[in-house]
Amino acid sequence: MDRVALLQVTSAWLVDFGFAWLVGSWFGRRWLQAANVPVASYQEAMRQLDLAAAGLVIASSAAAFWAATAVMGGFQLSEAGPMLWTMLASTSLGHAGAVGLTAIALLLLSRLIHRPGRAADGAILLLLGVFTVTRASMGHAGEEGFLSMPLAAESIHLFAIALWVGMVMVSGWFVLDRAEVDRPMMSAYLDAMSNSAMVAVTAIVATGLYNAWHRVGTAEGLVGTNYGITLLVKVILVVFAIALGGYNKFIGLPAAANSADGQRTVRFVLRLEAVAVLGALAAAAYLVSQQPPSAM
Amino acid sequence: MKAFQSIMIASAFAASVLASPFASAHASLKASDPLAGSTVATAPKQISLTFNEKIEQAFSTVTLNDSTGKAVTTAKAKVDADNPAVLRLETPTLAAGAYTVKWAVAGHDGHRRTGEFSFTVK
Repeated sequence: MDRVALLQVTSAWLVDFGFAWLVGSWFGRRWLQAANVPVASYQEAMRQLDLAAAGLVIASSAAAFWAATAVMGGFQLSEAGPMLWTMLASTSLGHAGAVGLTAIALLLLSRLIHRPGRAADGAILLLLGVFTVTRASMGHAGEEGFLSMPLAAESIHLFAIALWVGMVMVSGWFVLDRAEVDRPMMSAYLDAMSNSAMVAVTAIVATGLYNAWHRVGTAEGLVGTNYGITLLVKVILVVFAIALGGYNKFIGLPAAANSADGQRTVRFVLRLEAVAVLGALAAAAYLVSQQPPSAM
Repeated sequence: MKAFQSIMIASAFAASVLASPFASAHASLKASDPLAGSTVATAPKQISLTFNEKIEQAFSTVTLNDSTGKAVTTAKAKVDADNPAVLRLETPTLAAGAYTVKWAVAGHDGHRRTGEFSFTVK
């Protein structure tokens, strides 16, 4: 992989990572509220982490624009700088990227100003939605315009993925580390999370099916190519993560309701699941930077 | 073990979905005027390339070289105002001989594709 591709893949993965955290923490707050966990125990820490995540999305988006300019023009990174503005101002990819970046900048601002309430919650969800649609429009799903089924399906697909990745990260590394939350509250939180995970994974599969049908791909030439191997790794990681999620839902959560040991197991499985889905996101970022073999 | 079974079925189902490669259409050349490999009786006034999708003007180039490899024009290719999938290069009066068209375009999704073909003016 050359430096341009490396920057492209790394920045895409960091954007996905930061965005997933923002989506996961938005929903995590809802479940914490639903479980009657005292707001004061998590609000400030979550706000700080959201600021960091939004900052990461903004910085890695800028890097992604730079890499995209180099890819589009066939430049080295050092030559791409002067064309960066042209890319943002004149191409579909640049326009979508600029709108998405603005949405995350506004989200950052809203978390900085910090006026908690329904209006702020609604505005942040809307900004996350805007970011999702602009990111979906950057691929082929955006070709048929803003009011099309492929774009709607791709947007739901991306949002559901961010929700899944975000919720396992936020739960595994933040919520379940809060020692002050008692077990019944934690169980209520985990149940709400697990139900949403089922909805997210179902949405990912349904929209994935639609995408596959719409794009009509063929598997020729996958064997023995980097593309094919990466795709296989991605699928294995996703299946592993789904199996871990299933374990937690049907075995881990009932045990966690009864013992601190069970709760620790759930946390460990969630972290493992988070690593698997983040790995799958990395593989996906690599795949996007490559030409599928059948398109060469 | 019903739960385990449903996990495995769901996993297999998800795998089959996610395994479908996104072999979607990246920008590729659909047609050209003059045709690739053709011999034309009258020299064309322009080279016209039709792609399968909208292409980005700022990141798309076409060069025309004669049989010695020398560029015959410094003009820039322009995307057609009515059809953003068509790229045109105005050419000066071409003498008889073989010419090579080299193109590089960026599609809607930001992927870059390149290609070349030849034609002959009789």
